[in-house]
Amino acid sequence: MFGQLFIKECRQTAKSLIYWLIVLVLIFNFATQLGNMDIMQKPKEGQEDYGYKQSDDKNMIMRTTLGQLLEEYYRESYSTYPIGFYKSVTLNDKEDKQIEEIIKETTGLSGRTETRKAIEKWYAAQPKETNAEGALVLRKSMEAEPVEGLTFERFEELMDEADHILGGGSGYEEVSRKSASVPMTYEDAVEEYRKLTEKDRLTGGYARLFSDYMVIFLGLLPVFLAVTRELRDKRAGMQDLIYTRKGSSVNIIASRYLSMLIMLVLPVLALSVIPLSQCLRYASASGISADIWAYVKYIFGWLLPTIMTATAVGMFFTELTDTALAVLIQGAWWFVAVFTGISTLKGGIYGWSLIPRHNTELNWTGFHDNFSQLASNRIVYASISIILVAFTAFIYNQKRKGRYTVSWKGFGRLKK
Amino acid sequence: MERLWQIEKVNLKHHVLLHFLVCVLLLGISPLLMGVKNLTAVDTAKVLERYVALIGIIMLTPIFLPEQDRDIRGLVYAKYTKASQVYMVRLAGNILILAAFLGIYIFVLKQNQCEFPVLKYYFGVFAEVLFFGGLGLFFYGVSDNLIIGYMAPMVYYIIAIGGGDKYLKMFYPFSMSMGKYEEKICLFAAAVVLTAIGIRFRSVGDGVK
Amino acid sequence: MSTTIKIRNLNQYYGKKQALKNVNLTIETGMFGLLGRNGAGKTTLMKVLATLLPKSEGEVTVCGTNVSRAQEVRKNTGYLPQEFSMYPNMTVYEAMDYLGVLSGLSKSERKQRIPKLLERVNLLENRRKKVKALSGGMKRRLGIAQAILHDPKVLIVDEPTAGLDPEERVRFRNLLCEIAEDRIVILSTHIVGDIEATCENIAVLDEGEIIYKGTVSELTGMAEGKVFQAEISKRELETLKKQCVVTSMLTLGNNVMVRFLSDEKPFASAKPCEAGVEDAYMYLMQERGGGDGCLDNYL
Repeated sequence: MFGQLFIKECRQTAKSLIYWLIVLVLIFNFATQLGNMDIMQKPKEGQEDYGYKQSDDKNMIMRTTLGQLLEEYYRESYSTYPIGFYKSVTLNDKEDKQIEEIIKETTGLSGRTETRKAIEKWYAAQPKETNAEGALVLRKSMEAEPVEGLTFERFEELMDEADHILGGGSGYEEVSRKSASVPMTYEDAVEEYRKLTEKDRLTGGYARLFSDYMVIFLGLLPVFLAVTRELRDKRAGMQDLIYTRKGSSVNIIASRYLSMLIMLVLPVLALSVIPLSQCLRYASASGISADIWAYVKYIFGWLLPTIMTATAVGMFFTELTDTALAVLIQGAWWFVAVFTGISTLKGGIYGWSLIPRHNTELNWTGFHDNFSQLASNRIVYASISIILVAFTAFIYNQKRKGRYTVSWKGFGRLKK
Repeated sequence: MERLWQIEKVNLKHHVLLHFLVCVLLLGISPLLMGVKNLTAVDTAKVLERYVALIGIIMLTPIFLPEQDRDIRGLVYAKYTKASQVYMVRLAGNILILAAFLGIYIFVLKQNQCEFPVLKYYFGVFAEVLFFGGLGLFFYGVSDNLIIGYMAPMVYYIIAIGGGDKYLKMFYPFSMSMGKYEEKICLFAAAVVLTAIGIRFRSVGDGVK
Repeated sequence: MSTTIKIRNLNQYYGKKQALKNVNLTIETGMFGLLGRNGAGKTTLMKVLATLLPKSEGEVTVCGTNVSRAQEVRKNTGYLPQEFSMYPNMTVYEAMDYLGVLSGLSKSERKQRIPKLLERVNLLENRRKKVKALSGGMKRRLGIAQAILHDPKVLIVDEPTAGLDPEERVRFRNLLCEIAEDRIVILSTHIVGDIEATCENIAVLDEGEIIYKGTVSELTGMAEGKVFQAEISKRELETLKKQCVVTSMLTLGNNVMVRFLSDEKPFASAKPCEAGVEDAYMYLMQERGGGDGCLDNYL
């Protein structure tokens, strides 16, 4: 029964307007973002620039981060971006003391007076340059010398603490500390290229880039399909006819869920053929052994858990409330995930975001080093979505038996 | 006039409350998510254009929802008052609510020492609010599917965030944070057209041919 | 496994309101009519039998299975709700096929049964028509076809003739009678004519209570000798209405031919006549102290 129901559900999806609108949006997204993708050429010596890379010079990271901390501490005002929007934070006395402690431990400076002196001293030592209008220009932002013996691990701990005190999104969180980018040298560029072609076998890097552009839309669009599907029975007046059937609720809900997932993955797979063939052409011309399955791996590993979650949220809240509430919930989630993700655009930091970003075909190292984080992220979302679907089936079953009724616009009631 | 007020009263009592509360929640939690104090003109524009403007989708898209059921629609459309008139009253009421929301929010920003030209921003964001709402209303009206109605402005929003003004040109919704204003006039014109077509399309079958 | 529905001491509550009060019924193969006013509790009782509502108190078994085991019961029951529709964009055949899958029918079973059923309800020629293009009567017939798709032992039909034209109504009743040959068909209605034409056994529900159960002829027997007919003037009609229950009337110029209930002959010109189900039902309701009955359906 499951198989036949699954096929019927797929057909139903294929006949629905909303599905084709979603496909259209995906095609549009692909065409505008990846329509004319250039494959990276092997860097040549003597190029004007080789792009940027994230700095991994620990001393440098410590110096600039502490410099910023001193300045903000002195100003008594901190700039944060909790969900990508600017927010200035001022601290109360207790929190201010905590930051003071952190500064003492990391730089040896205690109190505002010493801090002011350190800032003044640093700026006085900078070369004075003026621009065309005669205004003073500084080439470098404030840096501060860490105390001797401060390990990088302890520094990271303390910065996490500072970020926590500031409510997140500050310049001291892991993301910002790592985002200091430095220009790449020719050697760096060759190394990145080598990793792209050897470690990622070319297609790996481009499949990640593809996933990055797709995941933004796939973090939201499936919810529309799921909500429409779950509302359809009620809207068509067909609910009671289906409720009184013998078929089990688990079968009904699971077949719907699975069919929506497959129907959503299909256009993504189809679109991936275009960049894949581009990569394969380049690979065979330059003698790179490309991984033909890279796109499939990334679509199922990276994108599917996000599709699963958005679909499950749609089904769950629609069965729970009989309203379009899920659109609002997924919309809010999407909003927060995308805006907080702006600071992790270049990949390597995936955290627990529903929409993990990696907006470059490079940075294999970042991907490789944080793979276990990404994997746990994806597994957690896949699990959450399956749990949500299980709850959906439970609610559906209670509704069929008249044990759960939605009495007023979204406020359900479970009997006994 | 009395009749129109009655229509709006029913709207306020039965249909608006939930959406109203969602807007209150959306605006109410904004200080937790972003700064609303001492902002520069650009940062203020960001908050208004990328966040506050979303209330348009919430308040205007579901304007046809009370008559979603075909039987109810038949009942209402058969009445002396034209359906389009009912929708217009409802729309006007919801737009007034939006205007008030926006006014209060901008007032609070100003009180919090944000630096920006008040009236210019007010009308700019209001045009954007109407555009997002009009887009939702249009797609809902044409497709007879509320979910598609929500999807259209939300997808538009994503495209604006992702592709920026490169694709949307004069209809780029976040122009004020880039220091440009002409886009708002286009958005307003588009909002009027979309709303008019949406309502007219939905009211077909009610003698408004 | 016997084809019987047993209801023992069924009580049903909606919050504080009691929708069914101590209902006891045994229903055997054949047509069974459930009669009562709007809001008497018919739909509630039907929904309990169709496992759409959990019973509050009491014992209800369908073909030997307790209704709390919904999935088991659903194998044996088919249900046609009062108001229903189907996905408007599906064709008649597609809708049947979809519901057939949900009923657990195999592909070959569906291929074999669906055309047969559509022919039986006279929809075979419309099998490629979209559901949204069907008339009210066609939709009802499709409703019946879907309800007996999995060949249930029990068919539950809630107010099936509402909204059908007289011709459709007669055809629909006949269809139900055919179907009832080898199964239980429970039919709820507030239209006495439906019951009169089709059912042998009936129950009358009023305010959640069973106020009558038995055969149709026994019910008519209750009103025997209490039905009279007379030709009176329109002015006299008002007085008569205050005294007795008028079950039908026919205007003849300035006079009216009335049919009414009375324990004894009220005036000389009144002629006793044979009681019908309608009269008996009205008599029953009058005894209960209710007045309006279902006369409005006949006027």
